[in-house]
Amino acid sequence: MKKIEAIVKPFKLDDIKDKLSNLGIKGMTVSEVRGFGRQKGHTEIYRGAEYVVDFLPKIKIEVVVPDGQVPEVVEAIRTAANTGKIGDGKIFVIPVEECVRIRTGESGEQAL
Amino acid sequence: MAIPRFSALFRRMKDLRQAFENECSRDIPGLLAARTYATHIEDSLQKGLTRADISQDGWCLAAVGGFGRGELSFKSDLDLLFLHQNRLPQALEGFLRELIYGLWDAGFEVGHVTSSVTGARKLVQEDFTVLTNHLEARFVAGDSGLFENWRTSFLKSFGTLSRRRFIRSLIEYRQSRMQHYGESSYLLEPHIKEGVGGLRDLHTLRWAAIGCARGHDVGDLVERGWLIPQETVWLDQASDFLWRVRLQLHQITGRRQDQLLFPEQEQVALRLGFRDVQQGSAAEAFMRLYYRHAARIRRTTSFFLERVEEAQGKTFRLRLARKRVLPGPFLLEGRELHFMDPSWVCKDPRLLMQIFWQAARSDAHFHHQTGSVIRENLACLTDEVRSDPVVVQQFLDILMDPQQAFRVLKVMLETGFLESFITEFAGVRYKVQYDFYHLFTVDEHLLKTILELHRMGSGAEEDLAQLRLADVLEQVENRKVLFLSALFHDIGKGVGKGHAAHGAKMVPTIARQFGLTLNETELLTFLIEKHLILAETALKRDLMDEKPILRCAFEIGDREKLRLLYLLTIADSRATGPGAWNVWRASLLQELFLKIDRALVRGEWSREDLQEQCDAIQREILGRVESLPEKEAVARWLDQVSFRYLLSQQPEAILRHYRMERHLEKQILVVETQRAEGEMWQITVATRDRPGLFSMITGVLWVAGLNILAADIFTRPSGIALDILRVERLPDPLRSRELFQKITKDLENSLTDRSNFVELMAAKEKPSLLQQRNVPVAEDRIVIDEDGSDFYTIIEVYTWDRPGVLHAITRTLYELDISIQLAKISTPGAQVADVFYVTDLEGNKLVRQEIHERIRARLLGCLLQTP
Repeated sequence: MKKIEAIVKPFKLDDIKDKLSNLGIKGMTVSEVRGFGRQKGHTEIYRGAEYVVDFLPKIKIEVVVPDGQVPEVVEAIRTAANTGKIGDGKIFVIPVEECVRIRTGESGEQAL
Repeated sequence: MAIPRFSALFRRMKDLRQAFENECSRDIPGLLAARTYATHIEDSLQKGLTRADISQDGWCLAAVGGFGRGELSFKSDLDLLFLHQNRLPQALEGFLRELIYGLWDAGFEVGHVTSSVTGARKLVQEDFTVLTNHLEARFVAGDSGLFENWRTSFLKSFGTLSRRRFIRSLIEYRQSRMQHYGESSYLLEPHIKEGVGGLRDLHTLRWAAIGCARGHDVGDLVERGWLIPQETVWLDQASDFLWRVRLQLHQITGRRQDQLLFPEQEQVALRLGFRDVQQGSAAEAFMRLYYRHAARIRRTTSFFLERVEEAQGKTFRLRLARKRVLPGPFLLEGRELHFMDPSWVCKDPRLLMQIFWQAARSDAHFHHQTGSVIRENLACLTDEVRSDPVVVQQFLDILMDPQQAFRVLKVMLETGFLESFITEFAGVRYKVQYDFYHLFTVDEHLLKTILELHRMGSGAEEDLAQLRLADVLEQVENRKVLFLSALFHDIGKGVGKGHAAHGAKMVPTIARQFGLTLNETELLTFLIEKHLILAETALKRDLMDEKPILRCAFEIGDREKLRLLYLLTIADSRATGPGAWNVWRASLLQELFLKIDRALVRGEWSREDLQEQCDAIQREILGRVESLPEKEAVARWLDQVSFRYLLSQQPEAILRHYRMERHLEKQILVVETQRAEGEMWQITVATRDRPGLFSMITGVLWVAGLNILAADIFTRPSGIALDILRVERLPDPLRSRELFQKITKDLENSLTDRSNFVELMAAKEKPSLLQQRNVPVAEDRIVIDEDGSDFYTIIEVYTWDRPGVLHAITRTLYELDISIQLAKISTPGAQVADVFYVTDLEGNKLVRQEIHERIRARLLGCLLQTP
């Protein structure tokens, strides 16, 4: 099992959700986060005034999938979240040791 | 938790599901199986709940969505609607929780809603998907009276006004779906459920039927004239086919995946009994059938919705529409064209062509009934009608009409008229080409080629304006043949390999039908037979070399033919898909065109006087140098460089190269980068030559994530190597400067110490989880050509595209002591064609057969090892 953690632009969430449910992904966790990457505290000019934007709002999506499904899930997120501009986000793939469904105690891939 | 009162039920449901899944390990009748399974599941639920220890009053459980429709896959959601009166009693709540949790634990995906009757009504008003979901409700257990009341009032709510609104919403819902699933990625890997012509279209049709006709039965729709009997047969066949495919897909992937991706297309094809034959692979034949069914569903649904909408809003529309009678006679009502009397068509089948012609002339739409009339009367077309001069002329008028051609031809194709009129077309109808390159089926591609030709004439496309194609088109004398060649250039694809030659053989019959003169026939044969040579030469041969140019000039023979072929080639590439057309291809094709044209104007097949040309270039370069000492140094340097170098580079670039080489006295490497056309960049690398230098450069560029399109390699007698590379796909175009700095640094480190290079490669070669997705691949192929050039052996490598493949090939060539002078790389879709002009280390052609064999074996071996 792997956890796929994607930090993406907020307005891309629906597209990503659609693409993932096309792949038969059953569940995901989404949180609103703030952060910055390469654009750092990038300065935006807004109506003539300079604003320093330290942390930009992003959406973090977390899905855990069986190993075999990792490539297509990453590809699906990447294509759906891509705008070609700075700040499109990142995808991390992290190994997951174990998974337990709390209500039933099931574990392993069937608990996903 | 309490005593598990449903455990027997869940066991039974799990058994049913397992049995169904097992059955699907081979091809079974799709719709029947999906329905049988749904019925079984429903029965067990019904029995299990009725027997349960709870009062059956005041609540009911309904199957909705796909479950209500009575069609389920073993991976489908079970959509349940639990209705109660007023407030939900506590006992029921526990009962319900036990049921739903139990279903979850039994591995069923449940989509359930628990709601009071009034709550359900509100939900339906708020959410269109809930509305459609509830339309197909079926009683399962509980209080049947409650269910009936709810159902009746729900259906009653579709008054005349809201029915009209409902149909509008359905049409809009479908349009947004089409837009989303019609984009190019879904063309090759369609979505069985939501895609264009997918199961959802069939559902839409049912929803419309229930909402507007209160009937589930297709028979009702036929009676109302919303469907014709033939269409219901098509829909039945198509939905059965889609279900067969869907069940197999779920069985193979083990999850509810409804997009038919490449790897599974092949497996499903085999399960459905398709086999590889000479005309094409199993997957191609399977997908062809898939597209045929999907197209029928899409068309039928569109017509159906049009009819229903018309029926809902009849009085309103009829009053507004202006009616006119047009010669034929046809009736033009608003913008829609009808036959005045359909029974006349069979008496005079020429009316079939005339109505298309009339539609093109008056920019009219085809009324859906017109489509059916055309379809029903196709059998009346006789050979006599097909070659009737008036009919043929009308067809040509349509074909040559810049505004209307594509639209009207498309209707001809969809109604089946085109393949009845031109019988050769039947072979390419829905014909799939199984790769990442050809986005469209062959029939679609042919029509798109015509569209592209018309676009050239308009000069509206920005990327074409630069090529001045409108001017070329202006000079063309045989426009008719040009457009016919666009329509027929791939007609041989229905037969098998070597489609250009096959297509050329079909010309005589076509020429007879179209009454072409001998001259025109010859020209058409020529265009179809040779429609690939310009693209092949431009992409795979050195255009600095005169030999391929002269060879093309010899084969083409005159300027008119060249113009026709050039326009056809561009239209063909542009109609293929984004992989087949870009700035790079455009510039190569234009260069080739101009060079062949010059050769044709010169007339004799003689070579130009190279010495004279070179002298002129040298004078021009020296004219740009101001200081006298530098002028002398440049002159000495120019005497040493090769003809090929002088002739292939711009004078100011040559001077820049000279200055770059001067820097090498102090440093190990000089790199210069320049923005080229479009998204392309040119990288010039100057350093002292050493074995394996080019392979090192390709390696470093690969690590940086760049895609190499072409490379020119010049080695000076002084031992300096100048490599000019054209690259694309900068991973991050916003930060090109950093990227090129890193490349320069990596190269410098690699040149200083080879172990740095080995380390760099090793880091990149670490296998990633994210391997390229499976795409259809053709077998690796190596072609070695000694005739193409007088000075070099040409090695062509065909393989599938993957990271680092170019580096692997160049490294192998280096290990074989082969020196690469020029490389041309094209990546059509998932395939790559790498062409190398090479010599041995002494600068001679390879010639000997045993060397060829060794190269072939080593290259194939290296490709096999590159994952």
